[in-house]
Order: sequence, then C-alpha cells, then structure tokens
Amino acid sequence: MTIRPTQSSIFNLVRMGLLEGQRSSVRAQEQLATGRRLLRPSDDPVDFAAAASFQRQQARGERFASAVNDARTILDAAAGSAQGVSEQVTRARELLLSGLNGTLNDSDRASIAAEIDEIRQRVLEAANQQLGDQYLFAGTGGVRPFADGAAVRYAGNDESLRLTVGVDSQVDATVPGDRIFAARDPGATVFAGSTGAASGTSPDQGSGYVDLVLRHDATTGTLGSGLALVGAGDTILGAHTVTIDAAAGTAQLGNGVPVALPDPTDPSAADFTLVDESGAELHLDFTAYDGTSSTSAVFADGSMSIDGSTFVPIDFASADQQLTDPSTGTVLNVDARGIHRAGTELVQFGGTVNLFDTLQGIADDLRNADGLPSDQVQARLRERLVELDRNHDHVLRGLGVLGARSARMTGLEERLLDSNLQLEGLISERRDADVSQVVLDMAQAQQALETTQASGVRLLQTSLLNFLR
Amino acid sequence: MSTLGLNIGLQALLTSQAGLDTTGNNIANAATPGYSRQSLLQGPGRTQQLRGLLMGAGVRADVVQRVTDDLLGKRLISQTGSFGRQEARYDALSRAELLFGGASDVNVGSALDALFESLSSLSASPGDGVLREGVVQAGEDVGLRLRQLSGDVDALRFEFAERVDGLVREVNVLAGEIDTLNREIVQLEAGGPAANNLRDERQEALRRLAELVDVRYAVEPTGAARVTVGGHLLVSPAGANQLLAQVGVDGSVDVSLGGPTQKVDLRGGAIGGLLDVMQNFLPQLDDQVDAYARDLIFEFNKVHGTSVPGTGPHHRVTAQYAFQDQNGNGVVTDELVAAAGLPFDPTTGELHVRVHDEATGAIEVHRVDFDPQRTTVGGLLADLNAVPNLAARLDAQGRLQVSSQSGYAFDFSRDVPTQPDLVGSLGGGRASLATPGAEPFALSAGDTLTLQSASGPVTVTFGAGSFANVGQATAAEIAAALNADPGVQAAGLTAADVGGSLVLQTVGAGSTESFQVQGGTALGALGWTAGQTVVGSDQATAVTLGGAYQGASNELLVFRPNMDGTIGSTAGLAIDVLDSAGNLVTSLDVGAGYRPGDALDLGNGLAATFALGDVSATDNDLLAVRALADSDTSDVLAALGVNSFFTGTDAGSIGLRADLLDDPGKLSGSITGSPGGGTGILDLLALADRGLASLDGRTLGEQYGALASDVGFEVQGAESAMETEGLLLDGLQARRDQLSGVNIDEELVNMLEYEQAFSAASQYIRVISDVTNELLSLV
Repeated sequence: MTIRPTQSSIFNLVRMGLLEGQRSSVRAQEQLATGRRLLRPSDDPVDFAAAASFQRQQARGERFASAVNDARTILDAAAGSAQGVSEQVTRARELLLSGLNGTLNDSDRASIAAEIDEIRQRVLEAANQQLGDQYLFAGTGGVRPFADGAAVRYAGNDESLRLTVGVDSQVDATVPGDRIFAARDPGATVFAGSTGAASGTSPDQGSGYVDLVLRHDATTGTLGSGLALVGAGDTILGAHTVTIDAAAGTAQLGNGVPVALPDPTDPSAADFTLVDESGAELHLDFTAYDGTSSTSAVFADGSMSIDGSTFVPIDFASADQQLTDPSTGTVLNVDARGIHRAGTELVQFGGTVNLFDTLQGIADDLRNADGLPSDQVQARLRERLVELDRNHDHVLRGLGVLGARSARMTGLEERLLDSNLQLEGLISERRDADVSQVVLDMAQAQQALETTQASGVRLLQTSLLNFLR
Repeated sequence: MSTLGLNIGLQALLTSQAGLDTTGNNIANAATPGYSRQSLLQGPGRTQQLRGLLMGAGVRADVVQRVTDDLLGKRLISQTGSFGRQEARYDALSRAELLFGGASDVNVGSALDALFESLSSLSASPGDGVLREGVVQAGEDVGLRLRQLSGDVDALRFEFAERVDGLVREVNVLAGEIDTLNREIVQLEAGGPAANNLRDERQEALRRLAELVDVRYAVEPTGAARVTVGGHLLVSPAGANQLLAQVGVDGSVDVSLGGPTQKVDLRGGAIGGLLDVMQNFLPQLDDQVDAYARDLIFEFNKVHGTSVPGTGPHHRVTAQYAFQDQNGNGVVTDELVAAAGLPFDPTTGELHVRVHDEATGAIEVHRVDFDPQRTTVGGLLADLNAVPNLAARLDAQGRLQVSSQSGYAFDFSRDVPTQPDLVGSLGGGRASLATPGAEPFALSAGDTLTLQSASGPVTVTFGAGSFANVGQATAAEIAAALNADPGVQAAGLTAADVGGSLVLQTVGAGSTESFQVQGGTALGALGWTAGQTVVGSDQATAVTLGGAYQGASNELLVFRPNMDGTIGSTAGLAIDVLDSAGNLVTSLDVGAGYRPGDALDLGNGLAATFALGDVSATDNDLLAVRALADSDTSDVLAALGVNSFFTGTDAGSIGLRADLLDDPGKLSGSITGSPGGGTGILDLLALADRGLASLDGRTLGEQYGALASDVGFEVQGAESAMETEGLLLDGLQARRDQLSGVNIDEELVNMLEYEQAFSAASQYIRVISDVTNELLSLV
C-alpha cells in the first residue's frame, strides 16, 4: 500500500514537530534555570539514587566534621589547662628544692610555703576548669571534680566524653581528672621516720597520706642519783637511757647533747628537760640530786592512732602492729620496735598521693608547725619531692595524650574537608546540569524548532487551491 | 426519439451533482476528527435492449461509501485503550513521585539527617538542655514528615478515586451518546444505505470511550453496535447500562456495571490505569512507607530503651503498646506474649533489670528469661514481680506498668555495677559456703540438709513443691526454699543465688560467726562434704569494678580464688575469672606484691580492684558478674514500647513519646546514669551508619533513598511504556489517516473531474434537446 498523505496527517506531523521542538527548548530552559540535570527521580533513577546516597554521605561528613571541631575545642582547652598546671608544678619544684636548702630561716620558709599555697590554688582552679557548662576533668560526672579540703578526693568518674568522628571511629575528648591529677601507681608505704615508726610486713591499704599520731602516755623507771620523774610533758617513747656524769657535770638523755646539770636549789630544777638526739624530751626533777653519776633506764608507754581519735597502745615488741580506720578503709601495719619519740609521723601510701595533697603537704612541712628538727623536715620534703615528680609525670603524660588527640583531630578535619569536597563534586556530576552542554542543547533545540516551523509552514501552505482560478 | 438520451443525460447530471456533493462533504469535513472520507460509487446503468441493440443506460450512482477498514478501526480502538491506560498510569505515578521531592528538597531523608546531626551535637555536651531539646524536636520532625508522607499517599488515593468517579460519569455520557446513535443509525439504515456520518460519529464516540475503558464492540447487521466493557455489556441494541463507581471510606473504588453488585474488572483506558495504580502501586507504597516507619521506630527504641534517662533511673515506666485479648474471654493475662496483639515482635532472650537502693547506692542486677512463644502475659508479670522491690501490673488499657518500691529505682542499663558483691560471697565478713558447681542440682524430693549453727542443729527438707523440676533444681529455688525454712531463719543463716551457685551464709559477720555442714542426703548433689566448717572473717575484702565491657555478647563472669589466703600477702594467691563456658578469661594476681586498691585489668574493658581481706577456695568463695553487651537481647522493651523514643506503629501514627516532648531531660543518653554520660547517645548515632538486617543491610538513610528511587524507576517504566504504546497508536492512527483521511488536493481534482463531467453532461442534454427540437420541427 503506498503512503497516502492526508490533510490530518500532514497537519499532525507539523503539529507534533512543533510540540516536540518546544518541549526540548523548555526542558533545556528548566535545566538552566534550576541548574539541575535531574529534577525528578524519574529523570534518571539510577543517578538520582546515587545522588541521594551521596547526599546522605555528605550529611554524615558534615556531622563528623562538626564533631571533630567540638572534640578539638575541648581537647585544646584541656591541654591548655594541663600545660598551665605543668608550669606551676615546675615552679613548685624549684621552690621545694630551695626549701631543702638548709640555710634558710623560718621566715624564708614561711614565704616559700605561702607561694606554694598559691600554686596549689591555681592548680586546683585549673583542674576544676569548665568549658561552657562542662567540667574538663570530671569524666562524665557533671560535678566539680576536686573540692578543696584537707584531703582532696576525686568526685568525678572514670568515663570519658566520647564523640563519633568517623564511621566506627570515636575519640575520647576528655581525660578523667584522676588520671592526670590523682593517678595511682604501684608503690610501697613510706614512713618519714621522724618517730622511729616503720612499715610493718603485712600489706597496707589506703591512699594519700595518713598522719600517724604517737602519743606519750606514761613514763616508768627507776632513776639513780636521786632523780625523779616529773610525769608530764615527756615526749620520749620506748626505752631510753639517762646518763648523769657528775665529773663533767652533765646530764644526757640517750645520745643527745649533754647539758649542764642544774643547781638543785634552783626552782627550775624541779622540772628540768633533757632532750635526746631526735628532739624527744624527758622531764626530770633534780631537786633531790645527790651529786653522783648514774645510768638509768626509763621506759615510756604510748599509744598511736591514725584517725586522731581511736588510740591503741603501742606494742614495742611488735614488728607488725595493725591500725585500722574503718571510716576510710585504711589499714596500716606498723613496725613499732624502733619507735623512740612521740609526734606525728607522716605515712605516705606511695604512688597514691594526688597533686593537691602533695602541694599541701609541702607547704605544711615548710611551715613546720610541729617544730621538727630540720633534718627531719628535709627527710619529709624529699619524700614529697618523689610524689611531686610522679604527679608531674602524669600531668605531662595527660598533656601528651590530649595533644596527640588534638593533632589527630586536626588531621582528621583536613581529611574530612577533602572528602567532603570530593563528594560535592560527585553529587554535582550526577545531579547538576553541565551549563555549557545545556546551552548547546538549547541552541540546538531552538534551531530545530525554527526549521520545523519554517518547513511546516511551507508544507501547509502548498495546496492546489493556490493554483485554481 | 426515445427518452433514453434525456434520461442518460439526467442521470449523468445527477450523478455528477452527487459526486460534487460528496466531494464537498469531504472538503468540509477535512478537519473533523474521526471523519472517514466518503466516495461515490457509481456504475454503469442497466443495459437496455432497444431496437435490437443492447444499449448502456448511462451512469448509476450506487452508493456513497465510507472508506474505512473496520479491522483497522477495531485495532485502533484497542490500542487507544492500551495507550490510555499507560498514560493514566504515568500521570498518577508522577503525582506519587512528587511526594518524595527532588534530590535536594526537605523530606524524610533530610529530616533524618538533621536528627543525627542534633545527636552528634548533643554527644559533645550531653548535659546541655538546649541541645537535648534540639534532639527531641528533630525526632518529632522526622515523625511529622513520615506522617505527612503517609497522609499524602492517602490523599492521593482519594484524589484518584475522585478522578475515577469523574471518568465513570464521562463513560456513562458516552454510552448514552452511543446508544442514541445506535437508534438513529438503525432507524436510518432500515432497508437503506449506510448512514455514513452517523457511523463516523459513533466511531469517534467509541474512540473517546476507549480512552477511558477497555472497549470491545461488534456491529450487528441492523447497524447497531454492541459495546462491551471489561467483558460486560455496556451498550446493546436494547439500551445502555450504567457504570457505577463506589468509593469506600478508605479511598478504595469498586466499579460495577448495570447494578451495584455486578463488579467489573477494568484493565484498559484511563480508568483501568488509575485503578491499577490505586490497587497495586499505592498500597504497595503505603506498605513500604509503613514498613520503613516501623523499622525506624523499632531500631531507635531498641537502643533508647536500655539507656538511662537524664533525670536518673526510673521509678515508674508505662509501656506504649497494650496487650490485647485475642481469645475473647475478656482476660488478657492468658495470652501468649507473641500473640497478644503487640505491633512489634519480641524474640527469645533475656532482659536485665538493675534495681538501685537509693539509700546505699547498691545496684542489684536481675535477669528475666523470656520466650514469647511460651511466656504468657501473666507469666511475664509474675517474672517481673519476682524481682525484689519491683512491681509490675497492667493498667486499664492493658499496658504494662513497672514501678519500684519507695526508696528504690530501676533501669535496664548494661553498665556493670561498681560494687558487684552484694552478699559478700567473695571473701566477705560472713561465714560463707558456696557450692563448687553451678545449677542445675540433681536433688530428689525429700532430700535433707543438716547444718550445725551457733544456736544448734537445723535440718531442712526439700519438698518437690518448691521446685519446677526437682532433678534440675536451680540455685534460686534452693535458696528460696532454705530462706523460707523457719529453722534456717532461727539459726541466723541465709541463702542466696550467686551466678547459678548456691551460697549459704550466716547473717552476721565477723570471726565469731560460723556454721558447719553436718550431713543430709542433699550433700552429694550440692557438692559439699559432711563436717565442713565455715568461719567468718574480721577482714572483709571488697571488690570494685570499673570500666565498660567491650565484649560482643553477654557473659557471666565468675571470680574464684585459687587458694585460701589474704589479699596482698599470700604468695601465689590469684583470683581466676571464668566465663560462662568455664574458660579462663584471666587470672588476677592478688598475692604478695599486690597492693590492695590497685586496679587489675580483666582484658575486656573491665578492671577490678580488691581491698584487704581473706578469701577461701575451700569454702568455694565466688563472685558472679554479668558483663552485658546487650541488656535486652529479647527486644521486649522495644516491643512493648518501654522507655521508648518514638511511639506509634506505622507511618500514620509515628511520633515522639509525649513525655519526652514535655521534658527533654528524660532523653536516655547515658548507660551509667551520670548526667554527663553520652554512651547511649553514641549508640543512637551509630544507627546512622549501621546496616540493618531487616533492611537487607541498608542503613535507615539508604532505605529511604531506595524507596524514593524505586518510585522513580516505576515512573520511568511507566513513561517508557506510555511512549511505546503511544508510538504504536500513532502508527495505527497514521495508517487510518492514510486510508480514510481527506486529502484536499485529491478532493479538488475530484471536484474538477465531476465539474467537467457535469459540464459535459449538460452539454449532452442541450444536444439531445436540440435533436428533439429538430425532430419536432420536422413535424
């Protein structure tokens, strides 16, 4: 069958051609106006799905970038605090070393102690620092981590603030305060040794410092040379020897400095104090002194306590006498055989003293309220130094961890920015219109439309009617 | 002269006139849609015998005929129907596609992104009330958008139903037209020639009808057309039937023909296409959106339920979803949990409840085993009520309510309690004897146990009634039986279940407390020996746990000392940590050289600290710790909607829990209960990137994208189907045009032809007239 063009088919043809041309033009214009190649999922479902998926990834990338930024802010703030603390501790160490110098007098030591108090305050403030409403060193406890007091305890918890910074990748944005300022290391119980008490053999349990109070109860013994015990004000403990040398005219307690015998008629002779090498005192009544030399043995009983209220008698034969404080769970085993004087013994649970208590202790030792002889003060200060250095190590380690994490965040941030940019590119490739291509398309469509219009008109106007008279 | 000549001339004139008329008709109707050109069929007149000659008698106009191909016409009608269907489908699907928006529009996907964004911000500062509010609002927004989407899909259904209704009206109008045309055609054609123009009109009416429904027709000899739609008769010579569309309240449409009960299944035309989308695609889309909402609700609630609210552990929780009476007896508690009408399905597993003593801070962890195929609602209530200081009941609507007694609180967190040894079964101060092995214990009914305490001998008899299966007695059952015995109470003894082992202790602590196992038939099953004496200790050790368990599955860790000794003193003393399979996880060196109070690493994220004290292996000292990776492996909390994040059961009802909206402080973000804890928030955030098994490994965001692009694929498919059918239709149309269309130039040529024939004929008549006149003048 030959093709028979009809009026309607001719007109339809031209009509369709015009419509199609216009449709292409309109589409190109739509793409240009919105800048998009894909306007609806049906335009290209595969690319649409890919673009949608990329968008999810982009949103995720932005989320991670924001978390990385938050993490870095917190880490940097904490690192700044820790840095300040480290500087303060270094200064405290210098002060401590100068305090160890035997040539200083009491007022010098007092001013050094005051400065160390200042340092302690500053360190306390740094440890309690907040960023916004959050404590930087309290774990997730949400409470002030270190409250000021005689013994500072950590009130936060061991959890860290954790942020998600990547797929299956998280960072702890905080370090719990107890790891930096109150870290616990293995160690032994250390006695400063001023009273002669030493560590027993059984295991001890406790943290920080404990003041072991040794109290004199009663002195017994028979004295030669007509001497008598006064019975009050003695600070010796255990067995001691009183040596009266009538020829030299001296009295000596133990290995202490021999002192001149008092005049028995003098009213002060009724209560004459002998001091031994460790500073322990024995009060004697010389009024009945008969002028002879003698060597007498005296024994002073005492009791000791770790909480200051419950005292147990000292068992001088025991190498392992146990003292407990149920309220804190502290258990201390004391070798009592070497105890020779009353006083307050500094007992330190090695590796458990926190930075604040150490600084407090240093200041207290420098002030020397108990009036201990300088060599004992120095012994105590040397012990404090060990703990100070230990704590400083932890601060530096904490600073290192914070710094490393912050650096990691910076690196991560750069990578995230890079990959986000890449994603942008991928999304754009799929979804956005290539402007130059669209402009070309549009020009083509325009041209085709015009051609259709011109040729259509020509075709439509050709008719036999033009030629019939 | 005969009249033949004039007649011939007359016929010729008339025929030419008829030809001109026909041509004129064609020219006039060149633009009429559905017009078939008509042509005059003429043939020579009948031969006459005249004066011995066979003479032609001129021309005869036979009939004006429509140039059509009926078969082509039928095919055209059929194809019109197919195209109409695809066109309507494409239109409808395009409307549906708009609901999902463009690639950058604000939609469910972007709302979900915003929710994760807000969670990420909150994780950096978990205590911040403003950020918490942000999370709650973002969650509400997700719910809002899903509800909108669901509502929009419903609205579409109603819109389509209305359109079907309108189209059905049109069909009826067309049927009426066809019926009228039928009658006219029959009347006109009665014994006469075809009524061409009317037939064309009817064909056009049929074409318009075919755009709307699938039409089949047959023309009867009388000229009437018999039209069937969907296999049922629409127009017959007797009259037209009415199509009826019944729209239901849910937007469903039932189409019937000739009466409300005669359902007709329409496949073609616009109505067929719309119905196909309404009955297949839309419900499927609805289901998909609902399923998506359900997955979202369930997954979020699974994570949120086990975390601790920012306001602290619960004192009372109410479930969101109610149990329903299925067997019609008015009582709900006899229903199996799996079949009690819950919208989500719990699985077999265990639920751990932690009960806090608010005065002492002690936390007890209790395990509730749960098999939804076996446990009834009543059974679940009983199990929960069995947890000390906890009460469970159903409220008036059948929803589970759990509350703690005054002075207690509870949560479902997986965090390990810091003080796990509540009864002091590991080196505690009480005189304590544990069984060397764990349950089940092979007792027999009537077994006895004789103990010697400070106040004298005690004999306990185990009756079968205290046990579910006495040959497989659990430690909890034995402990309950012992504690209920008045003799045991009077003797100052108590029993407990520690990790499946039975522990028998004195109530008091100290080295003055002691008791002795004297004998009894139950000794063998329990693993004790007669004459075994236990003494209390003045120095009780305390175990402290820290850290967070990193293991992948729930474990029961049992701590047992390897010898008798004192923590920190005895050389070689170690605490062995065993898992539930009995394998050694690690051995903690607590002998000489260990300083009490120092932390020992267990290797799975946990660390333990031991205080000074004595432990005994001969007394089978032990400690059981539940290390949980998931405190609700049965997902019963999410299935019931306890401490949920989202409420609702599908896309139409999803929303944020009302009391969360009122008080964002209740958002459960921590697993330790501390206000700054954010592990729960991180768990929720992890949902953004976690592929879910229920979604074939896709994340929630990806699933939404897949939903949207599936619709896109559907639309694209419909578009190409429409284009294909359109091309076929155009082809058929063109062929019809070729055959039946008017070509004006052709008609003009015809017109010239007829004009010339007319001129020639009139000339001929003049000649005949002249000839006749000449004849007459002769007379």
